[in-house]
Amino acid sequence: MGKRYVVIWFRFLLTDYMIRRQPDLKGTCFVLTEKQHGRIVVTAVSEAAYQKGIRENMPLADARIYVNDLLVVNSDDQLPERLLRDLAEWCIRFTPTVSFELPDILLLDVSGCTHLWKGEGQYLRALFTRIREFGYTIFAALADTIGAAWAVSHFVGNRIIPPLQQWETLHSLPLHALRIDIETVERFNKLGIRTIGDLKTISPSSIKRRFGDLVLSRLRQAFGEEEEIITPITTISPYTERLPCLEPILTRKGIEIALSKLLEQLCSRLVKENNGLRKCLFKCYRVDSKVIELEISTQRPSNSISHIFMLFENKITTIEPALGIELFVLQAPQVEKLSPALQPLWEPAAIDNKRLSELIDRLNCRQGIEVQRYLPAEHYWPERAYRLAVSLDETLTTWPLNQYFPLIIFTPPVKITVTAPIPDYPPMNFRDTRDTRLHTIVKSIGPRRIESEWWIEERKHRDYYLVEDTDAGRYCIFRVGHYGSDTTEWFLHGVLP
Amino acid sequence: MNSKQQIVVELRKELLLLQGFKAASPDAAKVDLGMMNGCFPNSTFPTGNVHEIISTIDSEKSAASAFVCAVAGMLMKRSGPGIWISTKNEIYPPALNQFNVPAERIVFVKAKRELDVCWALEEALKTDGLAFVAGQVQDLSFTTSRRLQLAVEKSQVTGFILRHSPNSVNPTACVSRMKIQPLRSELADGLPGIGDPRWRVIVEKVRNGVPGVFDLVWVKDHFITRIPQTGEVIIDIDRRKIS
Repeated sequence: MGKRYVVIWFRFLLTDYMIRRQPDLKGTCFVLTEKQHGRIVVTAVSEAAYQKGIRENMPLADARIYVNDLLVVNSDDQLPERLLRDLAEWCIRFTPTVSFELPDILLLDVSGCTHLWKGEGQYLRALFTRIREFGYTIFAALADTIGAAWAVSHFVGNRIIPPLQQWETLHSLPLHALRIDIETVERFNKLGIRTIGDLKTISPSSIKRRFGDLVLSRLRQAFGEEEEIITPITTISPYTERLPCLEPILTRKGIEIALSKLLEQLCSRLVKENNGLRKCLFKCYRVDSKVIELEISTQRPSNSISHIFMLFENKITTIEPALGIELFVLQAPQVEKLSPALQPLWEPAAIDNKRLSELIDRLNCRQGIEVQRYLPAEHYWPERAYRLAVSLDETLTTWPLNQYFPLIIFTPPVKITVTAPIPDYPPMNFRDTRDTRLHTIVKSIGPRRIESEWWIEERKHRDYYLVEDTDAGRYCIFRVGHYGSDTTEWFLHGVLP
Repeated sequence: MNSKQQIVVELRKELLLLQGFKAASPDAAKVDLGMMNGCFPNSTFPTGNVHEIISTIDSEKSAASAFVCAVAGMLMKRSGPGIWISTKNEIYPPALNQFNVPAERIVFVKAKRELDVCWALEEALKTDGLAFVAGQVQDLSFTTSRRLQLAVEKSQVTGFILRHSPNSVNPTACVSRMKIQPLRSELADGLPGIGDPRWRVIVEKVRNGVPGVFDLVWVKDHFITRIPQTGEVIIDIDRRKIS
């Protein structure tokens, strides 16, 4: 699937923001100004002032000619960036990859997100109306490339460009739509090249020779021939501790000290808030600008320093300090309310859940060890009658009571060869294909037919027999399908106690 | 005045204490093995220790696991969850119910190597409050077994080590070594079919106790034990020294 991008252009970002803060400004003509080279220049215009003819970069004196009682507000350099960052963070509810571009653009990588809003139209409408509700005048466009979406949002309006149809929309747009500076555009205009369609007719090599790489790469980016990389904003985890080091750390001991210091800070905060972490990230920033990450997770929320330290301890050996580590960062991306520590996990229990979950964490942390717990599942075939428990807290329905369950089960069942007298009678003997031992059967129960669960998959039924051989071994064997057909197969499924 | 026998019993108890054998506290879970209790010191199954159970073929392995489950079921009545460590997923959880073991309270640990099993065993045995810890390993060196026994002495967890077809039956620090063989099941009045699980438990060695051979039948929630007649013992246990 191709990439899809949304570009949102905030037409009056700063003035809309001012109106949002002071609603009585609505409908009035006002401008934001800044001192440039000894004169005062308009940097942002309100919608009402724009309609009166005032534009950005106009000297304030000129602007006053259009509107007599023009309201003037001093602008703040940092404001646009702050606003856009806030808006970008707000947009994370629509897609995980959001970026912004000064002075007034938001970029959203919406590939694979739109179906959650039942289609691109609904998606863009939802996004559009919600930002409009804040009071911003915006133009949003959705297209295959950032370049195309930018051009459409600025020169066409709110529009969705279907995949691979940039050409139909872009060829008639002016060259400004390519995000190239005005001087270059004017030079093109002098040569009689006014639209993107005109530019496409010239060979790339001659554009490159006369106008440089930038124009060419913008053109390619607009048509998806060259990839444009956006750097998404990252939200800062609310539980983050940093430890910069004056001198690079090289030894294991040093890393351990750093880790325990950070843990102390993080855990004391968690204890105060009565929270515990479920996931913890330990990042080591190396001098050669590489970042090493260790991650652990716990079964239940924990804020015990020694426990979390122990979980990291086994993994510290995987850190290669190389030239040294200059910054340690400890993050807890997943934090949950601490559940009461003394409440036993499963009744009756002499162990509190904290110690048990700590043990399970320790076991889980070691490589090559899997920890599992099973709960009953309502299925007929023996191998499906149980399932993995999702969490440590999950408790159950009731286990089926059956005296004749195998205690040891073979997955997959072991193939056996069988001598059976007449259809549906238990076999007289069977031979295990693994060790070719012959088992002579003396006692048996069965058959018990278990049909395949057709709502899951269509397979042949099984006839189960429980048999006891001369050596007193009790086994659970079954035949697949009807007796006598060519495909009849016998299997050893388990050993009874 | 106490009779001579009573004095001897008292003295024996004192001796056990001197040998470092702690009598089980009265609130500890009770494991009732019927007549088999007699072979253990103070006639009680020593909980809070590591036991070793040896099997050679599949049916013996199943019998050994079943015996552990039955004992575990009794232990779990009064205390916390259990842990079962092995290199394979072989135990069938729904079957545990017939031994009164609530399978949802068992944590199954699957390790890739035997070394990991031993590591997990030690970690688990150190955690007090667990009802039992069972581990399936093939070979157990004396040093390993001693570490496990030491771990258990503090935490008072009962450990079972199931050794399937071990390469050598070497001396270990476990308090007992048992071998469990399935016996032909019997139904009342000679009815056809398979009856309750029956095993022959051969206690090959037990610290401060008397080894012996017992036939056990698991009926619903308890054992029916009897001592087989001399002629019945077909298994050759004389080859190994019973001390």
